[in-house]
Amino acid sequence: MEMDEHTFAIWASTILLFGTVIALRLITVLPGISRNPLLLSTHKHKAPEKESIAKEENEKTTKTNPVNKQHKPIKLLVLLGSGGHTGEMIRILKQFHRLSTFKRHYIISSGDSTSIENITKFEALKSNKEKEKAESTSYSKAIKYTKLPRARNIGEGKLLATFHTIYSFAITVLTFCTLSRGEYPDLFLCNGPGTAIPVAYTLFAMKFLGLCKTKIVYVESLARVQQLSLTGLLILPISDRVVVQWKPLARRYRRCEYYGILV
Amino acid sequence: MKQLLVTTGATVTFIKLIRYTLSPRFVNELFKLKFTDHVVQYGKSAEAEVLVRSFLDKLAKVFTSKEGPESGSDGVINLTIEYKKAVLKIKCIKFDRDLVQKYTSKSDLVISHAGTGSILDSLRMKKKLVILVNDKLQDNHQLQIAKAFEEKKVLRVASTDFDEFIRLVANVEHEEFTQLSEPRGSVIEDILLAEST
Repeated sequence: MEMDEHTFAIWASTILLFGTVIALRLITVLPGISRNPLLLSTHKHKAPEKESIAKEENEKTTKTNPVNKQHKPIKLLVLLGSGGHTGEMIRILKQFHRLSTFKRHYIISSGDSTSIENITKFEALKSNKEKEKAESTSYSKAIKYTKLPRARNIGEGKLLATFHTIYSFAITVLTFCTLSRGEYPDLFLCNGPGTAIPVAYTLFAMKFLGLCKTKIVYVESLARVQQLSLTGLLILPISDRVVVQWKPLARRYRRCEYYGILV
Repeated sequence: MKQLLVTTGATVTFIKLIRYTLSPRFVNELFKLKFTDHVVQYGKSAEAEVLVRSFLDKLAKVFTSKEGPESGSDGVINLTIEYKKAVLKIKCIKFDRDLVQKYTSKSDLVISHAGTGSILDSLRMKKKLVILVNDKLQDNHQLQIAKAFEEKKVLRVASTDFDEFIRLVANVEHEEFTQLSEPRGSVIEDILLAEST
């Protein structure tokens, strides 16, 4: 029964992936893609309005700090799933010693107010600590939040789940296709919620097309002891690193790394 | 002060855990074990609240209680009962955002459902932990994770049989638990930094 669902989901996702790749090929071949001029592509911020670009440009030139010049910020895209997934992700982020070297961009499932609350609380605490340490080099000010529709609701039927996955996939593809070149994250960190799949596959497709260089790092949930989750199985072939939290998983699947419990 | 904390998770209430831990027989055992405080976090469902109330009414009758159950705001119900001059304060709450700071940190024993969040909350606070696995949940991940932790000897998994459950809680006092090793989350930071260059 479970195998059936897995096979079904894998097939559905494969078809979606190829669909996306072909669609993207078509889009990129069309002249319309040059709407992201070089000038914008070197820009690190999202550029919805010209005013804000000018403003940010000003801020940049006036507030240049030495560290900023030496190291390019590492753009880290973090996916927060619902309840338990967000909880584990925050537990992991809490242990970072150099969180400020990453420019964080969080993706949150729509309607997940608890995750938003928890992550903003975490970031607020972090920035307070940084202020105390007088580390003004952080990118805390540049933290971004993006909401995406859920890929799958718990306990949903196959058909509805597939529909939701397709919808979520489409929105994700749109969100990431409209990014300018410089906005693509260097790293994508995720840990299990279904929403990770469309994001990861879109980024992978973009990488395939040479539009970004995003590395995908997947952390399996602590709740998985013997078997990878469906998300884990689907993300395994396209992720750069897969970290699991129980030994049996590392033994069972190739490429899975085990360092002990992370959370 | 000797406090027991029961956590059933925020959303889906684990009815059996409430039934077990608020039954007169279990409470009688708590008196024997000299507990003074019994906190039950019962979740946000209306069904659970009704159940908790009925159990508290029953406890007020079985044991001596001056005031009976008292309801506060946001689903808080307090009941103080006496038995052979010993006093036990029972506090039932729906959910508390600061559950760990307010209750877990002050407890001597935690009895919980097998949610990873709840398990970690207790273990990271270095508390003795007994897990009752919800056999009504479709997937058996909860049993797997509870068993995997029990193999590390950091917690005990209770049988779903009531008699054995009570026996385990009574014995856990004299048992030695291993402490879960520190989390290795910074490994992820190293991986990210290595991948970004």
